Amino acid sequence: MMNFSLPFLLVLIAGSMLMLSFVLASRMRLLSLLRFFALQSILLAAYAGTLSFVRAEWNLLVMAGLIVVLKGVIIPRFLMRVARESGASQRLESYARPTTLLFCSGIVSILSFIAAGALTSVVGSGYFITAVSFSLLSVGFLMLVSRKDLFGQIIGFLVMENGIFTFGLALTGGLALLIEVGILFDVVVGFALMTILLNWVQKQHASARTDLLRELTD
Amino acid sequence: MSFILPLFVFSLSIPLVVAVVAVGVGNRSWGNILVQLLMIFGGVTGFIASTLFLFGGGDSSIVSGLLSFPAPLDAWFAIDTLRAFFLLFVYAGMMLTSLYSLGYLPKYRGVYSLPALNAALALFVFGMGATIMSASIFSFLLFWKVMSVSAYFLVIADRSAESLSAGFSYFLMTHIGFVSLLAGFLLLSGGNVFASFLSIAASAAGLSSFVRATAFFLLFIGFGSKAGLVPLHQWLPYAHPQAPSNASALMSGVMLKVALFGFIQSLFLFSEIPLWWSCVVMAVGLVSAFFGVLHAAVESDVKRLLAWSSIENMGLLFSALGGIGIIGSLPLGLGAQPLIGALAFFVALHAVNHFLFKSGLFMAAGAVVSETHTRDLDQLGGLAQKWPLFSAAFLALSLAASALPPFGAFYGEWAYLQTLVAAIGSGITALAVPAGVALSLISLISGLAIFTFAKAFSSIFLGRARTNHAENVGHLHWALVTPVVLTAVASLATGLVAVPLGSLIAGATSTGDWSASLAPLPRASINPLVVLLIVMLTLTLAFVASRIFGAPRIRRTDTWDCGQPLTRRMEYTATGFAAPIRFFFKSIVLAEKRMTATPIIASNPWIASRSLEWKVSSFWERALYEPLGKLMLRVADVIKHLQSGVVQFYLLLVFATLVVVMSTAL
Amino acid sequence: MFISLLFLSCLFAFVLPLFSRRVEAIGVLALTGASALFLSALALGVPALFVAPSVSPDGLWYLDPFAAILVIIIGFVQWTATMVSVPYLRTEVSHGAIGKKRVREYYALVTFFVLSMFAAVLSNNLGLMWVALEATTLATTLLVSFYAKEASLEAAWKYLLLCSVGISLGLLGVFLTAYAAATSGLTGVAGISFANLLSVAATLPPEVMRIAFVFILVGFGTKVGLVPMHAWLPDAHGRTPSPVSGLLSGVLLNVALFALIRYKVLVDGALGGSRWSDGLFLAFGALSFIVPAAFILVQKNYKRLLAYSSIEHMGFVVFSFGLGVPGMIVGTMHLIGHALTKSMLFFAAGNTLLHFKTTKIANVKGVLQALPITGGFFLAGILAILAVPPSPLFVSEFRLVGAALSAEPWYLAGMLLAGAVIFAGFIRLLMPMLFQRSSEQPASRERLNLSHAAMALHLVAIIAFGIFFLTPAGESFITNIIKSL
Repeated sequence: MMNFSLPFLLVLIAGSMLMLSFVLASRMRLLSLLRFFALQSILLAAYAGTLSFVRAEWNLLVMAGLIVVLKGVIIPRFLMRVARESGASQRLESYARPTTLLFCSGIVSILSFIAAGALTSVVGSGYFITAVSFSLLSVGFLMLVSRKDLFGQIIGFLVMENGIFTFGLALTGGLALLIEVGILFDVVVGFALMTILLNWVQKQHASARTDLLRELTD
Repeated sequence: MSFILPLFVFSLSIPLVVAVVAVGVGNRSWGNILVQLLMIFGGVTGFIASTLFLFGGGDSSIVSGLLSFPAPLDAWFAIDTLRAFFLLFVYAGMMLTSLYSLGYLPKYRGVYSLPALNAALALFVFGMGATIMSASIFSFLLFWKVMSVSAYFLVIADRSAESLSAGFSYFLMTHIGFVSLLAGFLLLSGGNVFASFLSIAASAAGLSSFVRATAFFLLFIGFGSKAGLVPLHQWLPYAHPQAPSNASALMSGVMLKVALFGFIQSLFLFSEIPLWWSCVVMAVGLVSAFFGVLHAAVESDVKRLLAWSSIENMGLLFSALGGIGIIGSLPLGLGAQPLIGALAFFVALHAVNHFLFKSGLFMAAGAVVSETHTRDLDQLGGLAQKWPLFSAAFLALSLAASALPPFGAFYGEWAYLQTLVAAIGSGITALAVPAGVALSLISLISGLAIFTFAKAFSSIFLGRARTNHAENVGHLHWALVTPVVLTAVASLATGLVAVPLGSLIAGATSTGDWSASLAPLPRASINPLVVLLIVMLTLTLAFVASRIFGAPRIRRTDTWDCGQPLTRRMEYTATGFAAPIRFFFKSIVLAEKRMTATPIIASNPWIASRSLEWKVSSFWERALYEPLGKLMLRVADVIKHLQSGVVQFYLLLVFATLVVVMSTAL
Repeated sequence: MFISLLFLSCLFAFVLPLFSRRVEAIGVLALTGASALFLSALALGVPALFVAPSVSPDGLWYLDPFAAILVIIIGFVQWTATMVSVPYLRTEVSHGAIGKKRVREYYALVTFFVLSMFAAVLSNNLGLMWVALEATTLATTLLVSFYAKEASLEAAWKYLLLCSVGISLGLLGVFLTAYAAATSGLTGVAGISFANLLSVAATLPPEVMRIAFVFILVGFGTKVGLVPMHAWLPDAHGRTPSPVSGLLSGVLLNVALFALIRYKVLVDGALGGSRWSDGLFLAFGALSFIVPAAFILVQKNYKRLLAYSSIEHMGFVVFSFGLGVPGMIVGTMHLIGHALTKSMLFFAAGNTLLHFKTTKIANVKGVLQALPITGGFFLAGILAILAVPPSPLFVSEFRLVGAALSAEPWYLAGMLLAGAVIFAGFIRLLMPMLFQRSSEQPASRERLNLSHAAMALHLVAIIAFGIFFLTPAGESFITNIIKSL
């Protein structure tokens, strides 16, 4: 019974993560963006947890716990606090309108599904989960490219990381606990540094728009 | 004569030692004397070594014209007659310019940093000597680079903006030339970095004709750019004059010969040289000679005039090499041998003479500039009265540079012209046509050369001084005069011994198969002593005749001046002298004259002052260099859009790259 | 054993400066730490240069001659960079450009940065290598933004974002490699151990390794500064305090390249005789060599000019590594020469910046007049980077033409053309900066300090390597390093 439903659960979780990424791509308010990101991270943790049962690799449970704590709780809260304390605007900016972004994220995710098709013929991972992780990756990338403020870019980067984690989990089921913790640690420190820079930029310019950062051009 | 080999090594290492000493002694007043004396000593030893080698056919360490070095050095150095012959220039130049520097450099203590300049000079000389002695392409290019780079520092020695810009064009062209040489040599050696010239000559025969042609022209570009051949010549008239005059003398007198040596040596690397290669070489040589002399004729800067004239002379030398190639590639049988011999005679003799008169003239120009503080011919004049001996030497050198008898340069050119006449008469179209073209161009070129040096000598030495600086020159230091007089005497001497000299340096090309004997064609061989005798006889006769028939009555009176006082501003200037030439060739020599008249106030047409801007630019600058430079800058500006400053664009680039690279993998 | 000594020295160097609050004393302590670090790097690296590759007992570290030479370079340059940092920071503090408190922060970050470079070079575990590489970015971000001015923040943001995104893509490559190992029977930690992977390289599934390598190439290539992923590099290297710029340009780029080469060895093993990865290296190398030429030709800022030149030299090395064994010899020689030369140039640029207070070429005149000692080293560095003998780069340039002339004539033709443009840019822009006389007389003579000692050490090393590479012994030395790959 358990063995039958668990893979289905995995697909369900992955599908939800994909849907959430569309939402993330098109949201323009910081608060809701962070909430949805937290939700997606918790789903990622759930995915890792379920996978640990499927493969009986218990170190994945530790990972799942770390993901929930770090990406599900600490990171969104921290970013929110920084935004509030520095008086950043809740309204985020983008090169395109939300509907266009939604449309674009659909397109890139279709492309990711096609690319995943080519890849799974080589790599023996599940087609759907590979496609989902590629979609997350490319939607995260879409956010990095389309967002015009540092908040949006940070979240885009984190969404991309979620995609990479999903792919890693699907492919190998974990490298070694120490290494994975190291990777997660790097992501968190990277995020912290991004936030520090964001904070300084926000303080210097009273805004976190990226077009303030266009001086170095020769 | 087993000491000959250590002597070569010893004389080559002296400049290296001097470079260290020069820095060590710093700015002390005896430092310069010590450095120059050491250099002279090195020059003497090297000169002796080379001369002994050229004479020393019986030396047991010389096997078939090649002196091989012991084990670690043999991969780097070798001496054969061709090398020894060209080393003569290096060491003679080293002696002469160091002697000159004894008097010259102390005058410029405030302008140049003497330790740095002397070190650069020593390295420069070392680089030239070592380049010539190199046995493998690696050492050749290494020392070629040492030579080129130290020459850059000589060009920018006075650190002015003008020198830096001249140095820039020199250095850039040097780099392009170096890369061409590198690619050319490595194409021939099949990518073997450490191949020796001997092994390349053996292996290159197996290459396809396309590769060989590419290599040949890369080498031609490389050596031609150093020799100042059109269109890669533009740096030379700017760079050579910017250097201190002792360095200019070395650069024009010796460094150009190193380029010539390199090209001659490369010719031996090819088993056969197709007709069209040689035609290109000859054409480029003639065009260079023409442009060089034309610009020399209209130039008013004395040192730049000399530099342009160097282009002319190098052009002539290369055209003769092309001529040798043309004759060699035609099925003339035994008839080719004397023609080739005569052209090779020209090359050898003219190389010697160009070295002598050009380094002499540069040193002389330096002496003039050091006293008058200007290089502008329009500001000089009247020096003949102040410095009679010096001006006689300058006159002799000018006559030599104009290739007039009885100077050595005349015999060389005479042999060249006679060979061309013989070639036209041969009835072979492939030979007669280029020879005909060459003959007519060379006549034009020699005419312009005479014009040029008549202008140079008369503007500097005749008439009255045009400026106070030129009026109030002091006494010239003996060290400034001696080398100039020496080169003048030597120019004359090469004329007297031209034909014996030809057979003496016959060995220079005996390693190749193009020439067994260097000699002018039989009907071209004039006995120089007879010529000298005729010249002296004519002069004596003229003098006697003037004494006998001419009225010895001397009437002293003022020059008729239309009632206006005569001032020095009324004298015929060098710029004015060259006006007819500019007029004839105005489509090639682009002169820009801009007169700006400033009125007293804007509404009043009364002129307060006038200023004249005067610039002569060359056809190649307009047609090639400026458009190319602009194109480069425009392309750079387009590429610069990559660095837009927009981080989103950068990220997009990363992902686009990912997609493209992925497409190669799937 | 020496590896533990190395990391202990890192810890030592990290802790030591924390013992004082005075700027002078911190400098002395940091220098002590750096010297200890250099000595332990020598102790580890020098013996390893001449022996076969070895794996540490715990399986975490892998030391071959190629890693050893990098360890020595890292050790040396961090030592000299610290020597330069001491007077640099002293001056900046006295000018009030930075606060006193930040001096300790600086040394702590530099030491952490150096530690992560050592870890990246020495790790046998590819996951650990990834972590260490990312850690180098993290450690240096705050150094890039050290002056906390607007432009340095901008540079830091671009640096962090692009390198993090790039290295995240690299992580996909690591995962795929681990997956490939699993299909060859290596699971868990064994699957990402380089030594194990190397032993089974021929059996790794080629298709998977290819895809993995694409991610690695683009990801790590971003850190190497390959065009077109290079955009962060001139910003970051131009804005960082100069001693750190020297470390970034001279060393960090090589470390990232080293990681890339590790994977190239694996993918070449998996693909058998295919030259697929060579083709990619050639294309990226040539592109990275050619594009910066345009930026160098019309550059306005001398530190950025040096940074673009680093891209170009990385392109040179990557290109050479695509040419097979003769090319790898060239590439290694060039890598060593560039590391030493570029860091020295940045040190000289740092002193110039301190004196003239600007990085704009147009505003700097007469460096040799105002700073004769620094100017001399600057000049020597420029000549060395332009491959004037006896620079090691002369040998490598010469050999590259020999290696590539018949194999890749068209790439080479493009590169030689771009080389001339780069040459023109350097001479046109930097020589007047050094030589031109300025009307202002310098207020005081330049006084000798530690930075000059550092540059002198670099110059000696450059000339020594330049001459060494000319000899047969030099060639066999490099060949030995290559053989272990």
